[in-house]
Amino acid sequence: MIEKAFRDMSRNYLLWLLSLLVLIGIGFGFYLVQLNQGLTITGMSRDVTWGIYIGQFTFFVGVAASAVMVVLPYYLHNVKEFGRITVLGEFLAIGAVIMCMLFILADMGMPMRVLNMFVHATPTSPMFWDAVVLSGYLLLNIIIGWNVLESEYRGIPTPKWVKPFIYISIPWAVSIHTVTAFLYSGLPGRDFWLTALVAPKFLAGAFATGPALLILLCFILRKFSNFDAGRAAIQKLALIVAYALSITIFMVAVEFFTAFYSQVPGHMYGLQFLFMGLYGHAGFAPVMWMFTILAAAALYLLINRKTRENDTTLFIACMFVFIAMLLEKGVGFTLAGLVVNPFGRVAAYAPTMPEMFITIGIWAVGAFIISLFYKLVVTVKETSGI
Amino acid sequence: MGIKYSLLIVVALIAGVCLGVEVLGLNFLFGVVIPYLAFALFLCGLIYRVIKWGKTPVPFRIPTTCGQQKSLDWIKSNQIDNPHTTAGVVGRMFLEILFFRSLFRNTSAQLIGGKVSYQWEKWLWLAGLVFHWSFLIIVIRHLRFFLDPVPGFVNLLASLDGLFQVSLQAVYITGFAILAAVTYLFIRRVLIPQVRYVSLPADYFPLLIIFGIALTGVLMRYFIRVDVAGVKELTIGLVTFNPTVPENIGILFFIHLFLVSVLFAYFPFSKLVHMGGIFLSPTRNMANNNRMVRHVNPWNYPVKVHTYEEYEDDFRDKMKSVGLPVDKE
Repeated sequence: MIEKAFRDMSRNYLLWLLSLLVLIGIGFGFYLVQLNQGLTITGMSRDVTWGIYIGQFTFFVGVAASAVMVVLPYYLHNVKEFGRITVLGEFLAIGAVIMCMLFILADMGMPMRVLNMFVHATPTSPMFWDAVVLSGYLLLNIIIGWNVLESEYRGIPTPKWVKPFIYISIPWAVSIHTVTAFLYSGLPGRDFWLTALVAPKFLAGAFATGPALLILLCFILRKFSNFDAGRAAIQKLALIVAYALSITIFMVAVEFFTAFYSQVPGHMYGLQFLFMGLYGHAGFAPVMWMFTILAAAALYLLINRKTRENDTTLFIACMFVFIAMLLEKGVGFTLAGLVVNPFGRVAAYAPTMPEMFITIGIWAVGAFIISLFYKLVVTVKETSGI
Repeated sequence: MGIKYSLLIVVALIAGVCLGVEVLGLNFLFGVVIPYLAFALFLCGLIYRVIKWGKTPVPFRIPTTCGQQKSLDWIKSNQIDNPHTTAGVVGRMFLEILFFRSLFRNTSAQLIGGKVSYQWEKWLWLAGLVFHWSFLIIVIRHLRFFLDPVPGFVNLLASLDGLFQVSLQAVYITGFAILAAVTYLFIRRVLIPQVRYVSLPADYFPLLIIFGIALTGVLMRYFIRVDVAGVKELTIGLVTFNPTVPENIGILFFIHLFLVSVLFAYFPFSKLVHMGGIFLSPTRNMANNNRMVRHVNPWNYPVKVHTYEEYEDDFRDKMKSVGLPVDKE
């Protein structure tokens, strides 16, 4: 079956893969420099120990977890419309988890010692649990996605033994993002993160981002291949995005009340830094206002039935959701907690050029993996006719 | 039966070397004489096999193919699965030797719901690939014991293989990968009834002995250390024909070396010799050009033929008289 991913590749597809390989190569080159010189070539510092890598990691854990938004309705509520796209969700999760792992590796000064995480397991550390749930989730999705697709290819029902794995994968998806949230929300010194709302906010954001990305990918597949996810499936996903986005925006907004009504300085600093600038450091304000505008526009387009049911406006809305959440979760959230240090001072951070290229390289790896998988899925679906 | 027999031999070999080195003090025998003998046997045996293969006549192209043969221009032929050029053959051999392409294509047929369904048999291919590549990398890594100075590519390969560390020590991934792969290949042989039925001691023995070699290697490197400087003294002595056996190297090393020697000696006379044989398989290393090129069996005795032209010369008048067309008037 796997050879299907390499059959009848069009020129455009090959060019796409090749350009991704170039980006991966450049990123890897910069990574070798980082491996040689250490994290000193990044913009991170004593105070800002997590930068763009961990921000992006957090964001893509969400993308990975969001596979549950197609898997759960299909397997637990028999939502038949999702039958064609559950595999897409699972393969998206595989790509996203691999990206997460690469971001973690990139953030390690000594990646060669990563095995110590398991050899000297520390159950009291959320880091250890994050490594466990992420690898488990990757394995689950490989097993499920592969077997479901293979049985489709062979024209037989999915083997019975796969079903338990599917059911396990549903709470597991929630667990990966919860544990990721616990990396943040358990730190007493970082007021901006010190709230139980982080995990639910992460999940809500993920359930907006992932389905939005899936809708975008379905549109792309419809344009460049014969694969059509079906209008009903896309509309169902759009509804999920609409609800999840509303909840996310709500959860971002309620933080303002707690912080500014209570007037606790530590709680205010983070938000002030993000949206207004603190002690003259206003570099992030444009980014967060961009998030605000995009999120509001997307919410308008998604709540309004006319624009939600129109493919063009839905496409725009999903783009907005994805970019908005990338800015909020992938950049703003991680940095605000660290840039404003426990003494209420601001330690500036901006990603350096090597850091950006490594990040782009990892994005390219994810895009490359997902391209191969989706090509495989499309070819299998074309031949099996399901 | 085959398992017990093979296991017994391997255990006996290990017991023999323990007895020889620890009790009888035959360090020179096991450290120098047997390795030399084994290597000589390996070389001579391999040469013997290659000469024997070379002498086997292959008068006709007999490649196994699984794709469209080159015929008319408008029929697309499969360049790799049914090669008709040397380049195609090289490509096919390359993919076969480095990636086991024919094994990759392996499928098993199952009857599911009254319908025949083919499943990709990926695990044998994967385990085989892991096993062979690990073995190759391990052999290349071991060059550091036989060369001085150690060439750059050996060090590079070793540093890549040992990229990951456990508590500050580099862990060679291939060492553990080969153990896992051999274990899988062994279990597969035992558990699948059809495979077990066709398995002989000659199938179990190499697996067990390779497992023993890998296990002693891993033990020596990570758990029960041996005097590695002494080991290098011995190995350099062997390759410079100036053999010495330093004291107190450790029994594990002697077990390792002896099992390797047994493997070397056994190699040319067993199925392991497919290492060389794969290159000389007539069903794989020949271009399928039977339709394009006339291949004459070299030992055919000369056959006297009567061509059509001669036939026409003989009967031209008679053919003309009954109105048959002729080529030459």
